Amino acid sequence: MVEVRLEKLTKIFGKNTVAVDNVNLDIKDKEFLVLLGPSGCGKTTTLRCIAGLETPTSGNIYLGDRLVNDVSEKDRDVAMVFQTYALWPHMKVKDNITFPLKMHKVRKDEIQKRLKETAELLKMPHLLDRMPGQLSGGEAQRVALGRAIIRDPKVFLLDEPLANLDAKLRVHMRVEIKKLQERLGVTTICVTHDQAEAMAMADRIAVMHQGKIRQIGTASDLYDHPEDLFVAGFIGSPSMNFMDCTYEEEKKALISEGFSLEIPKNLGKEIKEQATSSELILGVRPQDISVSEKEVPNSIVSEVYAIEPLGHETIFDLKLGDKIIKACTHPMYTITLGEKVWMIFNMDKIHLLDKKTEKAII
Amino acid sequence: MGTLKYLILIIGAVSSILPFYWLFISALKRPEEIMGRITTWWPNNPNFMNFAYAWDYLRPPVPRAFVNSVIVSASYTVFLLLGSSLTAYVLAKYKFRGGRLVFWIIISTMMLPGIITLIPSVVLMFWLGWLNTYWPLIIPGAVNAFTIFLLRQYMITIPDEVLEAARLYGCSELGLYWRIVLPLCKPALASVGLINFVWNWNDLLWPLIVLRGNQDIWTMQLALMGLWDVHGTLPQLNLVAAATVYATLPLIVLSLITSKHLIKAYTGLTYAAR
Repeated sequence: MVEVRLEKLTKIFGKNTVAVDNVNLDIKDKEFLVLLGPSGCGKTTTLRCIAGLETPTSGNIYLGDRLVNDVSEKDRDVAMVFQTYALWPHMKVKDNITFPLKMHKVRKDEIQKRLKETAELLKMPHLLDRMPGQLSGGEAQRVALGRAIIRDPKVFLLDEPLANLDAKLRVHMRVEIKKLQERLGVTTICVTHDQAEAMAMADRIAVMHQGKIRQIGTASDLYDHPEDLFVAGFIGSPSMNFMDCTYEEEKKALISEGFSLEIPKNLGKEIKEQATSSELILGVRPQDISVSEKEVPNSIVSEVYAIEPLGHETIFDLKLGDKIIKACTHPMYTITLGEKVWMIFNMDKIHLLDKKTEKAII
Repeated sequence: MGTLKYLILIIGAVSSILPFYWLFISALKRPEEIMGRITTWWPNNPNFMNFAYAWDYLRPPVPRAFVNSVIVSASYTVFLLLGSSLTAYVLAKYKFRGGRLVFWIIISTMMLPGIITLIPSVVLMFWLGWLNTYWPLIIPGAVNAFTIFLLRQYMITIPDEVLEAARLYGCSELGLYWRIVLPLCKPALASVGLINFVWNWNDLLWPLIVLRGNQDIWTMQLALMGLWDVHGTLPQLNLVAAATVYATLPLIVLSLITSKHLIKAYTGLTYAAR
């Protein structure tokens, strides 16, 4: 098992399509790191560069202490699970799984031993004689995992491993993958666009956008302390609400069209020290907004635009001027559409971002 | 609508089967019946011995001509599938400078009528010393533009990830072609293989030119045509029909064996529809 280090990794397709832009990343030994980002952000290209399936335009890739830029994919000792699983449809499951061992000329008895171990680990001895076309999505994924782990690779790469599964199986398999990684103790890099998946599986998450890494941290780091506007908006479901506002020092309040919100004194100090101007973006997660049918101090009046009752909670779409603010609260059956309500922000959990730099102040 | 559909299918089936039926009953007729003025749809006195007489009627005899045809057509098909699939694989899955140009040059040769290249090809065979040997019937066709085109189009539909996975797990480039690409192309290989086998088996003009001086290696088609030369007079048509049955039978058997692949190939020659 090894550390993986990316140094100023850049990949440009054609003349000027920058897929990966100067990425620096250290992945610790036995760590489960997830590259998270929207489609086209460069996460899969980064993974493919590590696998050796793409040649970086510049920068270095280290597996342990070994610089692998010029090492072919088959000599890197990495295993990858592809989004489509990429099983070979003309081979039985057992031949798919043992293929990496056969290619490395492992002895026959050793192959059989490892096949048995892998099949038992992934609970699939009954699938070994089937053809890939006879497998369900979940079974095919287990076969792809088996093929990846049988050779005991140094690094395990997963490219959207759950994307082709139905919602229920996805929730089940993300736990299975996490458990498997913990048991094998292999350094693992997983690519996904699904934040729930990332948060459930990862030791750390690297959020990517437009080829760059925007923030690296644990799930709670990213959720509680996003460092910029993109991460703040990307992490969390429903997304964080953003409102443009101005800080007025005399009033110690955030002023915007439709509201004036007093903030704690210490926040005022932080704004003064870190903001480039008084123009700010106020960010509040829907979970940090409560809704009241009566006016309370430091609340903002709004109108109920839509109600999404989800059972365990209710999402209110609240109209504030021409903006819609989402609030997740416990079910409140007395509130109806069009009603006037007051939003109360949890001031300990609000986020303030510099409008100019889009960087977080708190 | 349903009735019309079946009617069209029946007409199609009958018009396909009728020539074979006619060939078969002609092979069972006696000379006077086959040359007679009255058309009979079943021989008055079927003579199965015609098949035995036809055995030695050709020059070279049926067994030898048959073996010659098998050697030529089978070797040609194997060489063609290997040569064309390797070329198609490179054109479909490798990006290299001039790749597209090479592809279009190959495709453009499909536009040339075969007759144009006939004389230069014969001259080439002469220079190589291959006239009156099996080689002219096997080697020149081994790289065929149409086959390359069909196989390339099929191979393009194989997802890159399937190949990348094999590469990642230690497969060499040649191993990739042999262990992954060829087995995945089985339906396409079966259909183009069969089409080309049949074409080569039935070819008359090219063997006639390049094998003229060596009757021992004449193919079935050449031997059938040679009946007019060998016997000097009109050959016995019932024996010609029986010998033609020998020439046709392998193709029918082969079509039945590969029909599964053929149907798949004609209903959608893509990897996903395999």
